[in-house]
Amino acid sequence: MKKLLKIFLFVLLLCAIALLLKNEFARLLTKNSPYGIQTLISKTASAENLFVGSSMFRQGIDIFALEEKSPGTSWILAYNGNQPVWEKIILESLLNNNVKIKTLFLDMYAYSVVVSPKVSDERLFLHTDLKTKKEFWNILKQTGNASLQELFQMFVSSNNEILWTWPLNKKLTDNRYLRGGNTAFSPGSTDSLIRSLPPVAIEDFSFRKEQKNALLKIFDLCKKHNVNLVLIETPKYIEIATDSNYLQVMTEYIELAKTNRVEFLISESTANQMQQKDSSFNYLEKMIPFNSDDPESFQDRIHLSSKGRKIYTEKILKFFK
Amino acid sequence: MPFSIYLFLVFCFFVLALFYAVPKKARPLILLFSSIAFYALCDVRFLALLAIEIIFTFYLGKKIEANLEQNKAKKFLILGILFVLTILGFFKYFNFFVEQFSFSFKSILLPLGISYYSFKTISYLIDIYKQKRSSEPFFTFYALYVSFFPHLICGPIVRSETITEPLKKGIAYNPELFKQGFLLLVSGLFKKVVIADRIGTYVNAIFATPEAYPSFALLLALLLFAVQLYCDFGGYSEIAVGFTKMFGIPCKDNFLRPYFALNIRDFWRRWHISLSSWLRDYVYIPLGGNRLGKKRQHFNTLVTFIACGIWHGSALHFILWGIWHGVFNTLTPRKDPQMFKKPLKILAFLLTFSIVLFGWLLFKIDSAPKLLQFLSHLICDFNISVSTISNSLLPFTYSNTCIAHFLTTLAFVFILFSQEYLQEKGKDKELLFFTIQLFCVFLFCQTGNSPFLYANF
Repeated sequence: MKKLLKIFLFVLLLCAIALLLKNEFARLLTKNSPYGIQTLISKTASAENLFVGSSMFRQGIDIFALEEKSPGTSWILAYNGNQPVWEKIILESLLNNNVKIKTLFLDMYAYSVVVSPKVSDERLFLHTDLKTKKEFWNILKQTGNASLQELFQMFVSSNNEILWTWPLNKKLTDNRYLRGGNTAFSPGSTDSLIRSLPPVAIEDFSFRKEQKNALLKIFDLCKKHNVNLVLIETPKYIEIATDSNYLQVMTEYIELAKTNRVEFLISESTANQMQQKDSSFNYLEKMIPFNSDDPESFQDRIHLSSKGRKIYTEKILKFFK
Repeated sequence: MPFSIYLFLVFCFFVLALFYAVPKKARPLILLFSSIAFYALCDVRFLALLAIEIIFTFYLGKKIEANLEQNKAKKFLILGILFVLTILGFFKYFNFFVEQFSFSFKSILLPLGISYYSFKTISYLIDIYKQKRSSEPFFTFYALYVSFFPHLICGPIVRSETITEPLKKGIAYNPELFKQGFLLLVSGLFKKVVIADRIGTYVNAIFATPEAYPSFALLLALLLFAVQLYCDFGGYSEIAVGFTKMFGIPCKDNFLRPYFALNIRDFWRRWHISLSSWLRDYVYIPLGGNRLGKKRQHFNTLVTFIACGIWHGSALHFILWGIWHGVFNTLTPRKDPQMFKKPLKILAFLLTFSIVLFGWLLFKIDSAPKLLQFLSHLICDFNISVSTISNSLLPFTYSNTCIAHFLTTLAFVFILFSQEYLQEKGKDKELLFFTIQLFCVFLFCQTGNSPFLYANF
């Protein structure tokens, strides 16, 4: 039993050391990845077009086309289910590390502003240092979402799978990305398949105060650092695009942008529906045309397929011109 | 309160500390009160039902013993079995009949652990009737046997002597037994929180909408479901047996490397041993076992396995699963497969695993059209290419971390079966695997509140 106890204490000590190292230094491993905050900080001091948002940016923007047809370097910093509260911290981290940003495209994802702060992509912990992780934790604490389980996930169990399979995993996944954009083929879907997917599990569609405050902070940061800010709504499949709850959140989101004189680009279906409701503003001018009816352009309700990605990026580029 | 493995661990360690802090005589009482508190914490609504079943069967046990020399004992035994089976049948199959015959009743909840404690009480009554044991003189010990909290949710279904005899003798701290228990606890946690819960998310996603994934994903999900079920139930059993030993009570394993079985009969000697031995002793042998000729033996085997299917749940697919195993059990030749030469052993292993694997499909999928759809997609659309493999791995996390999660799962499954392979060969590197498993439990455990699959039965 004594031997067992010794092994137990030895393993505990080993784990504690591993966790300390992981939480502070694991981010340095990601400096040479084709995606993530650290890569952007270490690889370049400036980004002409920086897209910060959720997986919809990763899936919906064709990085090759962007590189080819727009001036300067373009980057996509996308984390699954990213929310304004985390986007604010990401932006602060970039600006503190002297990354020069000309235009920041922020993901106008309606469902990310109606939920309480929660980190839905563990890679945020991999790409940040201990200090930033503490900031994440403090936000969770302030909003009452800090549980023992969250603490354990954030500082102990997150990203261990990636880290211990690092050389192999890096080799297998890195070639699927370029400057944060997905370069791998993403097949389209069918209407019945998309509709058979589980529905979005949100009960309360009201704009969360902490998300709104984070957005306002981002607006301020951009003004302070002379960064052009554009809020951009990626296309959603017709089922979501025409959903009344979705449109209600988008209306509020657009109002926030208008009030704070922030540029925004919205999808065709949102623009049409907004125009019908309010004729005092030309929403069609802010519209990026895209057929939300074509299931082949979508992987699921919110992510574009390779086909959709190509079409959508062409439309954005036209708008740039 | 939903049953959580982490709360269970906290509870067990708290009781363990209390158990060894009090004098020997008070230890059974600590266990009994803890068991009551545990059940109340998990589901207080059915505590009275458990109490009624304990009191009534304890009383019937006395009655059976007192009437053994007259003919009344059998009546009391039948009364007891009918009483327990009626309660079990009502709670377990009420919803099934309501659904089948479209009755306009509300569905009812299944009391936690009812399948396990019901079988314990039945075995107790039958053992008294068959004079294998005398009735328990102390109510405390009997109540503790039925409600012993580490065994309450998912078994194992031990016989009364296993719990009552060591407690009567008085339990002192036994370092060797405690060590064995602790090793089992870590091994069980590794199976449950590191492997089973990790696999669960993937398996659930694929089985929920199999048509949305490539056929390769279906094959992977089926293989992983076999691992998940074993690690979930086997893991819990090891935790339960581990704590039993840490409480100073010797207890047999409930699983013995089942996927290394070389025929279906061998599989059932290794899988859920406490249930299969219960069914052997209280269903198969009373039906005549192998004493009444070949045909009757086959019939008895089939009935026993149908009973096994019915025990698992109130759905036809569980009965089909029972029949599937029953048929292959009757078809299995008597020859000991361990005597086979190596190539034949490999063949026997593959054949047995395939039969078990198809059985799990019957176990998992609850309707014939869904099963046919799954099979036709799996077989007719089967192809392997880079894109099907990558799309099959995606549901592990639905992000680019899926490959890391898949490789990690693969590594853990490899660790598990390497240990079992070495154990099969008689080489037990227990401390090496203890170190690896402990490390994995600390760093790779899944923190979600995943229920135990077998707690539903």
